[in-house]
Amino acid sequence: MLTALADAPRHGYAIVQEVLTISGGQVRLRTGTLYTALDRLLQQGLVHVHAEEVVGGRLRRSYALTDTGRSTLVAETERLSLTVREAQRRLALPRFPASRASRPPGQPFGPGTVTA
Amino acid sequence: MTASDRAPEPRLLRLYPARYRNLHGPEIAAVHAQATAGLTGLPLLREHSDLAAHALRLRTRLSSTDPAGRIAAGAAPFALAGAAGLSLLLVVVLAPDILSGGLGPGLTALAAVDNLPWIAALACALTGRWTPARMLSLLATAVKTVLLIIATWPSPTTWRWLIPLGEGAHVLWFSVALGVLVVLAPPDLVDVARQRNRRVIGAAALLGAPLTVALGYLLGHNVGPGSLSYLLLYCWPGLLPATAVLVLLTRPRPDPLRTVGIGLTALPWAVVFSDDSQLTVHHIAAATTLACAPLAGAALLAAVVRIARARTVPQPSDPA
Repeated sequence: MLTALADAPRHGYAIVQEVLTISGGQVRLRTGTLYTALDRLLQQGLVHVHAEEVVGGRLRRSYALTDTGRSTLVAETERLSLTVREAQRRLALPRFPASRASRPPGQPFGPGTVTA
Repeated sequence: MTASDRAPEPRLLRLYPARYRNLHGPEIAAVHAQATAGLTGLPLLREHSDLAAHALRLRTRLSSTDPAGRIAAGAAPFALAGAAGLSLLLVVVLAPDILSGGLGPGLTALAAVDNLPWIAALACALTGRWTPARMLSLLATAVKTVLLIIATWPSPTTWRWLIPLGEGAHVLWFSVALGVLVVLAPPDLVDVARQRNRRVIGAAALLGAPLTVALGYLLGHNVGPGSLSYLLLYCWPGLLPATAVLVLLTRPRPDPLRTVGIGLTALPWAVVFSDDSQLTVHHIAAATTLACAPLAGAALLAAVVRIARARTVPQPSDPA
């Protein structure tokens, strides 16, 4: 949700749609879950009410990141980036020992048992 | 005109406390109307139940922003591990009779219905699936509650045959109390990241295996208060929450509510290994003291560590 609010303030349903887009359609926040999370983020000071407007006779609030919320998101992004970079570095290394995975059952390790 | 403009306020909004409804009602109604537009059947039911759950959590002050909710969230993984650990223990104790056929098909099936939901809930939690773990915990709690009602029914009932599985009313109370903590915990606060899952695995192992040995020894030797087995039975379950309490209290910014929640999970163990004849005020007080002793030790040790750390922090040098 912090990512959904990183570039612009958004109202409730826009947050639902943004999270759906960011997650590639995997995460669809239900209304109760959305407001459970918003209540907690508001209490933690990571999000604040950006604006209130009346649309179609109904009050609509938009929410935005606070400075604390932005720095929390920056820290979490950096942590995830480090993990991704480390995973990419390790995946780029030659696989070892590839031959063991393809060793036939019962065949011992040793000279002459390594297959290409 | 949008869907939110046309939609009437859902009746579910009445479940919210008046103050919250006045503050957020219109925007929740608008989001709910947009989210449910075009939905039917199960997806619509899920949206409604999600909204009702949020409203009821706020009304009962068990949301993730309320102290009670945060206490329950701290307790939930340990409560699940404890209840599942006891179910594992009961299955191990009953295993010889089940394997020899001595228990009979009816009671074997009952033992499965009685204990497998907790064990399955533990398996779900270990694999990071908290939602099914909660659902199975709810099922397990419901089963134990039915058995508890039967066990405590004032007049003898023909359903009493369901209770000869080593579970007196106090054992059933234990499972129900821990189950309630699991079910009430706000799901958005219960961390089921892999590291936490490993802790739950460790909890179940620490609780289950030594208790099985201790209970077997206790049952076999009929030892009383003051013996090692007796102390082990009542003290051991408190060691795991006490370790967690020690870790939390020695952090730079301890979370007191979560710590209280974890500490709470040690209390139900005070009665679980007593038999009905032992359930006197004196015995319960002694057992509670033993169950809480590791927690008290952890709190004391944490205080010592914090004081020692405060003394070793280098003082800023005097610029003069």
